[in-house]
Amino acid sequence: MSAPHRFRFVSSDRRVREDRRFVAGKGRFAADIALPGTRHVAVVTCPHPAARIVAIDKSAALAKPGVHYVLDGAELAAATLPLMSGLDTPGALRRPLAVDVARYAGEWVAAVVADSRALAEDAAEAVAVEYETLPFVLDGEEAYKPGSPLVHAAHGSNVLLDRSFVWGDVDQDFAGSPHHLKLTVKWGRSSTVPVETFGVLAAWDPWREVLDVYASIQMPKYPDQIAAALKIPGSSVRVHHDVDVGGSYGVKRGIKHTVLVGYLTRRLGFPVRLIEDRLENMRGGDAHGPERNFDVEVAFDGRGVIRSMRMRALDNVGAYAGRSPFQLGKPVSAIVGPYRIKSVAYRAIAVMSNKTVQEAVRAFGQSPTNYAIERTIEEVANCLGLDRLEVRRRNLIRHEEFPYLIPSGSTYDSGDYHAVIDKVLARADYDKLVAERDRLRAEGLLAGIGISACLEPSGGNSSFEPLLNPKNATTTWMDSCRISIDLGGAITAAMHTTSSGQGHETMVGTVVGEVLEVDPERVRVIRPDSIASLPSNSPVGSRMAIMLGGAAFHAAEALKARLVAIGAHDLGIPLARAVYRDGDVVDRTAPEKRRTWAELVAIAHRHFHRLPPGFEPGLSVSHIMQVPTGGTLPTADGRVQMYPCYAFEFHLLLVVIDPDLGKPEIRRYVVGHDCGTVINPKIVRGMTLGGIAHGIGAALYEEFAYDAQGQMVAQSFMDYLLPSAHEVPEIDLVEHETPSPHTVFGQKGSGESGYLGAPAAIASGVNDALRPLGITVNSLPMKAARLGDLIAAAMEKP
Amino acid sequence: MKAAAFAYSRPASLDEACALLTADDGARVIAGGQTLVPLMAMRLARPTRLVDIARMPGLAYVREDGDAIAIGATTSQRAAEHHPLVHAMLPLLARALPFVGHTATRARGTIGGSLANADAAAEIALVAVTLGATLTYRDGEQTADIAAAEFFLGPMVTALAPSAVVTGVRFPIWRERVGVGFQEINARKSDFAFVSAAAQVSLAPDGTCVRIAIGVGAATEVPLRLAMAEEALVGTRLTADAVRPAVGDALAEVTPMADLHASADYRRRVARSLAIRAVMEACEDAKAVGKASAPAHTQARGQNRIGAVAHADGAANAILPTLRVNGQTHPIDVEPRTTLLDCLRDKLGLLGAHAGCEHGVCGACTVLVDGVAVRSCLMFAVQADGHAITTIEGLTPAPGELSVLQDAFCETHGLQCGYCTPAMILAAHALLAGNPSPTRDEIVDAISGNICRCTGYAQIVEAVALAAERLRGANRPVALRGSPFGRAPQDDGVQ
Repeated sequence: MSAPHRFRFVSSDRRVREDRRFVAGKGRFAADIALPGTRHVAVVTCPHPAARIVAIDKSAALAKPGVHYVLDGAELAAATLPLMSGLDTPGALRRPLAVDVARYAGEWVAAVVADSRALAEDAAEAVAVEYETLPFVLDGEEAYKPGSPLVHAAHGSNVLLDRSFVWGDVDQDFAGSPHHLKLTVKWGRSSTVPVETFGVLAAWDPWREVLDVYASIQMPKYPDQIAAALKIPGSSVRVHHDVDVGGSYGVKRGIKHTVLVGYLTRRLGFPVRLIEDRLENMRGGDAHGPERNFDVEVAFDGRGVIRSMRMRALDNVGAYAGRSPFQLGKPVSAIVGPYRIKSVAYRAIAVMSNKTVQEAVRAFGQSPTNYAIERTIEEVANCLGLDRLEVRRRNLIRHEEFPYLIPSGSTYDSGDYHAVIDKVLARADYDKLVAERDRLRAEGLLAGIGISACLEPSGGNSSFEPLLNPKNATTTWMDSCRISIDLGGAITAAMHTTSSGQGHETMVGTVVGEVLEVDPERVRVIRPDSIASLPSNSPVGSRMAIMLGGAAFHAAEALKARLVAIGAHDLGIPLARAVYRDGDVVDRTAPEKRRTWAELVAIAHRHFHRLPPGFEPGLSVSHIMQVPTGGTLPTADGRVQMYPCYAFEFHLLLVVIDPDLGKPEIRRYVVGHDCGTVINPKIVRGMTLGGIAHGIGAALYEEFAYDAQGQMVAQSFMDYLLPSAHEVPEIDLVEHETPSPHTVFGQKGSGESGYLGAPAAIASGVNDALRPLGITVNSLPMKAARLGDLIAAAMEKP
Repeated sequence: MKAAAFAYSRPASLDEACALLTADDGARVIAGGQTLVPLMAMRLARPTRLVDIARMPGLAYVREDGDAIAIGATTSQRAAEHHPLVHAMLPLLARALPFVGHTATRARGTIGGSLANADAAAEIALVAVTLGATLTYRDGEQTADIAAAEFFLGPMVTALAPSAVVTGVRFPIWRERVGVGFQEINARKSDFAFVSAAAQVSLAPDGTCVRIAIGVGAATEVPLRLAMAEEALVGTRLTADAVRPAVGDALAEVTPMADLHASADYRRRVARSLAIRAVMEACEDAKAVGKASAPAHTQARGQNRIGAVAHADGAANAILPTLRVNGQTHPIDVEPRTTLLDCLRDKLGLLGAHAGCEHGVCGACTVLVDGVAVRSCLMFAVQADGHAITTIEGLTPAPGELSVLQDAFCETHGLQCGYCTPAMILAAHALLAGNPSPTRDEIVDAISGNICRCTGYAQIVEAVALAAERLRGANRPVALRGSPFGRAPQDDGVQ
């Protein structure tokens, strides 16, 4: 970091404390936990994209060795409530096991409980289900049309959400602009696909009336949802937050799995565990992400300055309403990207089909939207014959314009986009990069420069919920931290959620150490279970640096204030004269007069007679923090502040394609990243580079492809292609720091960084490479052989 | 994703193996199992009995045998890849082998197994057809030879009866100076090829082609030899103008396959273009060989880390119900269908090996078998007895203490969620044990069989490079440098 250090520990290149246990193989993942007497679940899945369940014959399965139970959807539905849907859709209910009708190939129809997973799989094969196949629909646009087969007959249509917003005078801005342009772009169905599948172990203790849950979970309100579905009090669900989660990036929602095993353990009286195998995970787990068509129209002037945009986004969310329709809502918070577009009309459509259900995926719908915006701005440049970078520069919000209110109601906190771009161009030696592209073209290769400029809304102010569902008036998105100092002077900070690799323990230790001026290694960080926890919303929406970091900061500040008050009182000086210095409280006018850490702790824990009047004994402070800028409901015309902070990233790359083969190869990749103050550089760098790798997957390799019969054909790792070390180039990361005014250290979120702009940048590079052939590719992923076919067709044209 | 139950035999002789195969229609041979086990895990293959020939005496060898290089069926792909005879006399196979799966699958996968499996995209099969190799097999009492061209009938279908066992393959040696070319296109480097192409040429001193073999794989149901093109090209100077039409004509009547990843049209076009490239590459290679003082192929490529191909294991027949893990011997009592991964986790409580995909792609289950990185989900525990197995727990020097490599991962933050990390460290350990100064490309290749979804790999590559640097700088007795990662090696066998 080039900026001078304003902090003692924050922003310094410190190790990540969690790493020690993982490099020794001593993480504690869901599958590592086995309670005595645990039995194992395998699920029976529907082979058809849509089918009525006529009959389920369990007898052969129950006769198999080691089999304890076969559960069907009817029994489970009778005993539990449907899973929560964020929208009000009583005709499209979701349950862990299908009831009467199965709606996608791979949907769970029954669950077998046996002594081992292998025996459970043996028995699952023996469950005989009689089906009557039904008409089905796979394509989102088809499903949207009246007359399409209905995924849920009771819902009356396949449309879960169809909302139009107009922010500003779009019609007038279009009428007043000399140029208009329309394009359609498609984001293919891909997801985050963590290496660890979802797993959960549940054990009901009938004597204490507690359901213990050990799960690889990343989900807000998870215990509450389990309790609601199982019809037991929340205080009877004990989710163990100290289970390590083997990657999630949004998808580990696991609610249906947990309700299933929660019911089974209560019904059967022993611990029950379901660790998805990869097939279950890919076909019917919480595995899939957005599959979105965009129709974009923009109005612009002769210099390429965009005045207005109309965007229609139709997302094929699969067979049930999970949280996925809301993934059309988050992009409202950055609907104009980093650009000064005055007015926007946005239509968000979530439609059901006979595909696997979507769940939350890294960036919650923002990355597809960024891709659509970036494709559009490139087409504006191409249409006018202008330089793509120059057109971006003309449209970008300038540093002096922050805070910047966008048409949809969010105010961007801070940024210096032009400065980041200049840094990246300098690092990449842009002129040389262009010369290299041209040299490669002269050699007969297709070569292109990829560019994207994108935002990462962060902080997890999820006001898309009330925006898209007016019956939901939620405006609270808190996180929390409790810090205690014991009578030996040791510091313990509690966080109240799971982590899936984000280094939260390190962050809390760093923040508390910073405030209390102690070595962060002295701060133990714990994760109480959910019953013992303060409210949290879990690590979603790039929020933890802002929210958990903020809560830890405020709790530590409050604790420090108490120490100062205790010290001042004991020294007999006015509060204003007492200063906190490295754990001691010192009289600023007479530095030899002080109370040491040990003395202050002793007073708090043992010497009530020396405490200031009215002070509670001991040293423990909790802070529950509301999200900055949050707390208001949307206006009638659908404007609302979402997300307090907006990080910026600028990607620049060189991609080369051998025209005979069609396989894009990234030769150079430079990214500029500005997420304000960085709390831990190692963590932020890792997240950004990892996000880019994930974006490379979404752009070039990954797709949950279906055949015409409704079968998912990319259901193993042989066909759903995750980038390996071979596919991820060396990436040059350029940091920039524009602090946020809304956060305690100026930090912004970074958990989704890299992924926000990489797909758009790679699409930009591929399209630049293809331009000499007159081809544009407006869908992701851009698979090699398909590109090869397009190139061949273009070259064969006379 | 657990295999259906099966019986397991490890016969001491081919006679015994053939008797087992004849007695049971559902019995199948297993050697490395790198293709069979994933199919079993998905229950797409359901053998009633596995007849394990991996340690049968006399089937693992690479030797010069008259005008051929003979390779025993159970010779591991890794052993062949590093064998000096293969480099010297069979350069086309040496060029092709790095494209076969990953380092970790080549450690277990065998030459004979790949041939017998007859995947349309298999590189070894392509080389066999291109060079006109001859397979030897045993069926009951009968031992016989079959030409590679007649052996492959379709995807996963061969001319052999289910009761037959491939015992070896002989690749003809071209005594003259040859050049080779191997080209492959796939989605990711280690995936099945969309198309691959192989060529071997020998040139007269004036540059005219004396002899040429050209083959195309993965485009059609079986590997294709372009005999027509070969005939047309002998006697030419292999100029692009000569090669293009010759290859084009030879492929004119071919009907390529289509799948999720590549269309038939794509395969048709790319088969042509890769075959041309392979020929041109071979031609350039031949010219380079001609200029060099010695044939390039006889020069050692990297370290030859394989001392002996055959297993030291003498008592091949004895199925010892024990597992040697991290220097300790454990009795094991598991069904044959229990993978090594599940056995380590569920029976021995060694939880550092993780299940990611259970079909051999993600690498999260990687352990060391005799010092070499291997996927423990692609190995049944019963296959593992007698081998020295090392898990992450065996690399950790002491409770609370980290090895140099583990510490380097902490220093660069070469991880996030930690799920793939133990496997990644084991793969890196295996690399550094044989290569103290790896290049970036070598590090990337060594970890390319291990998927990490968090990091984008950069900080992992940095960790491995940092560990290598620290280990090189460490002032340690030479004798200990073979295992500078933690405790002394536990008779890790072939290193």
